[in-house]
Parts: sequence; structure tokens; C-alpha cells
Amino acid sequence: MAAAPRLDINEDGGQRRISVLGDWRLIELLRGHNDAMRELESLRVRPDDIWDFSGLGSLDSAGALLFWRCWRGQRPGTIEGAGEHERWLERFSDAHLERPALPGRMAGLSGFLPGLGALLAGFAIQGYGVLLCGGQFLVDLWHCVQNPRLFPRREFTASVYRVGTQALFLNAFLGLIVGFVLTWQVGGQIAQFGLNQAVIGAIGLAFTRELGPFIAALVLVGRTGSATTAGIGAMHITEEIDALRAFGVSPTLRVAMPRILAMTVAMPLLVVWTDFWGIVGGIYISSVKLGVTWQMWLNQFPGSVPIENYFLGVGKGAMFGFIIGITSVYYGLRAPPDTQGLTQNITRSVVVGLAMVLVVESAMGIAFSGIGL
Amino acid sequence: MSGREEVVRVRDLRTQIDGNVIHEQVDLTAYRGEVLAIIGTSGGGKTTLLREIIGLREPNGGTVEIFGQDVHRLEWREEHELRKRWGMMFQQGALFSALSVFDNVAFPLRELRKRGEHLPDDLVRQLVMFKLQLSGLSADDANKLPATLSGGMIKRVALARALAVEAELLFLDEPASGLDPETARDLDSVLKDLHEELNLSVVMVSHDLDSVAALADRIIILAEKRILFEGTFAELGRSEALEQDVVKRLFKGPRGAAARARMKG
Ligand SMILES: Nc1ncnc2c1ncn2[C@@H]1O[C@H](COP(=O)(O)OP(=O)(O)O)[C@@H](O)[C@H]1O
Ligand SMILES: [Mg+2]
Repeated sequence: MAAAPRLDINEDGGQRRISVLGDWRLIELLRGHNDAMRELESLRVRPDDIWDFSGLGSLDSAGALLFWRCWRGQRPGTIEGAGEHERWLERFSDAHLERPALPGRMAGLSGFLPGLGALLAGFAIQGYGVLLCGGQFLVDLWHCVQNPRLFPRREFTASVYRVGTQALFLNAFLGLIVGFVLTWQVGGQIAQFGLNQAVIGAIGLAFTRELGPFIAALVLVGRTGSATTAGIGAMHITEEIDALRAFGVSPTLRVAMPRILAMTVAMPLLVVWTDFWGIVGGIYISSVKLGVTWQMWLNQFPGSVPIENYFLGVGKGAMFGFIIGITSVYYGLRAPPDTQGLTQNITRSVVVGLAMVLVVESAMGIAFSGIGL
Repeated sequence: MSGREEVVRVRDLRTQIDGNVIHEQVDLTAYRGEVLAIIGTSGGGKTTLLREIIGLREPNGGTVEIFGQDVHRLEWREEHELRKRWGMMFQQGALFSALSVFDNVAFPLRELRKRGEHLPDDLVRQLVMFKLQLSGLSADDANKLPATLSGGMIKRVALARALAVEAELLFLDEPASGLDPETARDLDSVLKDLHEELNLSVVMVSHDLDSVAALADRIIILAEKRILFEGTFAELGRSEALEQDVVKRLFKGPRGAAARARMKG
């Protein structure tokens, strides 16, 4: 079948006759038959060489390109027997074979400072964008209040289902585990002082005030937020966002608003649910380990954990839901329509979402330190 | 015909998706060095057939052999080797969105090079640039990202990528759709040249009867889940398959003129 590519060079009275034999094809070259290719690469052309192609089996563009390179982009004086292969050799004469330069990157310090500037500017732009996204949400919501038929009910209920219902198990599981572990450790300390019943206040406060909202927020960022960014970003790739716009439907109203609203509404409920399971975990461990029964819990809980903490936790949940909602929606809407850009934006969405949760968590911790403790 | 080497051989293929039968008793053969065109109605299962031939989807019954090897019964390593012997152009382009046009076309070449063979970097670069221009793109398009291309340009990049390694067998899913008539003709002549020069075997799906009439040595009509006809245009002209309504409708109208002319002469 295919014959290995070969060069046959005969010197005859100072004039060379270069016979090209076999199949000069990429497949052949890659099969390890590239001695001839190296030979051709190192060959120095002379103007009076005779190139004899009559023994050539077949030639593809890679093969033809090798000759073209050897000839330094010019047809040699004499080509014999090229016949139909001539076409390939011709094709290169008006092809532009150099890749246009990529936009250069600056190196060293001269590149570092602008790079740092761009990074900071990027942060500023993204922060501003997330804020705008929140503003747009309020505007869209106001539109829907004025004109309730605009409200995207199906998207909203579907989002609530994804954000809330589908996260119930995970939230309960994490709440329970943290409840177990925390009570085990705190309980050990408290028991040394014989203050076993203080565990009710400690665990109750910890969950209603801090841990419930925090666990729910972690789940929301990692599970729902990233999925939201990915989902909206993918809608860019499939041009669904453009299709919405083309039909006169606002993507922020139809895509962003129901998702943000769903997170804001579902989060307080998830917080209550997580609180519940965390405290169940606490009751179980304390009744086994510390002898604090569930009846004691029921009796003393209202006294040790003022009701303000409960509202504080639920409010925090709504706050976290809103923040994570606008962050994940923003990074989804801003995602470039390619896989790499989308991946980068999903990462950002999670990182920024978490950072915002931590910042708000600490700020609220300070701001409300006088309430409910 | 019987002495020619078979490159693709499909026997008794059956496909069922979500309870709907898409193909039934599909037999087809492609010989070395020919252009085989599959034509048929939209949604008739042409893309699905192509995907099953190249092993992207497991058929519900029947066998597919390429170069005499059963595509769906191969060891991982053998399959890997076999896949390097053909090029595929997808209907929607299927470009890697994170890679530039240049890198998309260079991709199959660089994959080949991973076997450690000698393929200099600048040769790859020049080959890619050449393939881009062969497919009707300009050198300036090389650094663009797929998201910034027009539909026709995506088609051409996809073709350039399918041609990159100049494999002996080429599968094309509607290469001409979405191109302006002039570019479509350019593409025809590029394919014709390649095919004559390299003795390339081509299996193409096409709606464009002009292009089929210009390129195809043999045609296959896939309609109503079956192969209604397999043979040359001249044979189709004499065949009773032409009596069937589906087939009549395919070749009706001004767009079938070139094809009808080939049936006659
Ligand atoms: N992944 C899939 N899931 C369900 N149905 C499919 C899928 N892919 C193809 N089909 C169905 O198979 C049929 C054939 O599709 P296709 O092969 O794309 O047609 P063609 O390429 O001939 O236009 C269509 O009816 C399509 O709806
Ligand atoms: Mg199709």
C-alpha cells in the first residue's frame, strides 16, 4: 500500500537530480518515516537542482509544505513529472503562512504595576456590578409589584424548589452533625464546672444566632450559588439570553429576579430548619452525655435564649440569601460565552459569595452585640 | 465494485431513542476513495447515523465496522488508534470555545504529536495557517475566539479542523449548510481536490443537492427509518426508488436540477 517517503539524490557533473519517491503524507511522516523529512529539512537548495516528482506516490499538504519550506517559499527552476501534484505546490504560493502576532503581554515590573492596577480595577468593577445587580433586582421587583402579571411565577417556584426543597436533607444533615460535635465538646467543658444545664443556652444561642444562618449560607454558596452561576452562564453559550432579549423579555426580570428572590425567601426557612436539626443534635448528645433531658430543654429554652436571637438569625438568613443571590446571578450574567471564562466566573462567584458572607457575618456580629445576649 | 476495499460497513443497524425507532435495518457500505453522500429528510436520523458510525453513540442493534474493525467492540487502546485515522466535522461546528481558531485547528495535530513523533512547531503552525486559508478563512481570523465568529466562519473552522491531519477518511455532517453559495462552491472544489489528490474517502451528510451532485460518487437515501436507495446517480435514474413519494419530494424543484441532470446522463 503506502510506501515510505524517500529522497534519491544523484550528483551528475555538478548538477543534482533529486528524485522524490513514496508517499509524502503526514500519516507516513508520523509513522516514524521521517528520515526523509529531516533530510529534506537539511538540504540546501541550489538554483540548478532538478526536482523529479515522477516517482511520487501521493502528496498531501503537509508533504507539499515540506518542499515549500525547503525551497524557502520559491519554486525551484526545474520541476519534472509533478503532474497533478502541481496543484498542491501551487497552493502555497499565495497562502499566508505566518500566524499573526498575539497581543503582547508586558513583562517585569512594567507589567506588574498595570497588572495590579487592572486587578484592583477589576475588583472595583465587580463590586460595583454586584451592587448594580441588587439595584436592578429591586427595580424588577417593583415592576412586578405594579404589574403582577409580569411576575415570572414558574421560574420563581422552580427556583424555590431548587434552593430550598432540594437542600433540605443536606442542611438537616449538616445541622445535626454540627449539633452533635459542638454539644459534645462544649458539654465536656461545662460539665467540669457542674453547670450541665448551661448547655441549653450555649447551644441554643449558637445555633439560632450564628450557626444556623452560617451553615445554611455555606450550603447555599456551594450548592445553589455555583449552580446558578453555571446555569446562567451556560445560557450565554447557547444564546438563550440573547433569545430572551430578542423576544423583548428582560433577562434580569425573567432570569435574575426570580432566582435572587427565591434565595432571599427560602433562606430564612432553611435557617429555621437548620436551627431545628442542630438543636435536636444538641438535645440528643446532652441527654446522653450530660443528663440534660428534652423536658429540661423545653422548659429552659425560652428563658436562656431570648426571642430576639431567633429573629436576628432569620433576618441574617434573608440577608445572606440576597447577597449570595446577587453575587451568583451577577457572575452568571457576566460570564463570557466560553467554557474557560465560565469556569473562572463560577470560581469567583463562590469565593466572592463566601467572602461577602463572612464580612456581613462579622459586621452584624459587632452591630448587634447589644441585642439578645 | 466488489473488488474495492470497504472503509465503512454498517449492517442491520437499529436505533431507538426514547422509545422512538429512528433506524431500522440500515445497511451501508463506503468504499475506499469514494465520496458517499447520505441524503434524507430533516430529522430523519442522519446525524444520529453518523454518530453511531464513528462510535459516539452505541446503536441498539447491528454492527459498524470501519477499516474492518468493529467500532463498538474495540479495546480502549485500539479504538484510540482507530480514531486517529478519520476526521469529523460536526453539524454545529463543535469548536472548543476556550481555544482560539488557530488552537482549534492545531488541536488534532498536537494530539498526534503527543506520540512523540518529530513534527516541528513551525511546521504545525504553517500547516494550520494553510488549512485555515484552504477552508476560506483569512490569516487574521487565526487569533479569534469561536464566540466572536459568524455561523459560516464556524463551519469553515470546523472543516479546517477536520482536515487538519488529512486523515484517509472524512465524515462531514452538512458541510455546506449555513454557507453562502460561493463559499459552498469553494468548499466543493477543496473537497474534490483533496479527494482526488489523496484518494480520500468521504462520507458526507448533505441537504445541498448541488453540492452532492458535484461531489458524490454514490448516494444513499435515508428516509422513513430505512435506506431507500444506495447507488450512483445513474442507477438512481433507473431505479424504482424514484417512484416513492419521499424520494420524489427530495429531488423536486429547482434545487434538485443538477442532481436530476446527473441521473439522466
Ligand atoms: N439525544 C436525543 N434525544 C432524543 N431524541 C433525539 C436525540 N438525538 C436525536 N434525536 C431524534 O432523532 C431524530 C433524528 O435526529 P438527527 O439524527 O439529528 O436528524 P438529522 O440529522 O437527519 O436532521 C430526530 O427525530 C431527533 O428528535
Ligand atoms: Mg443533522
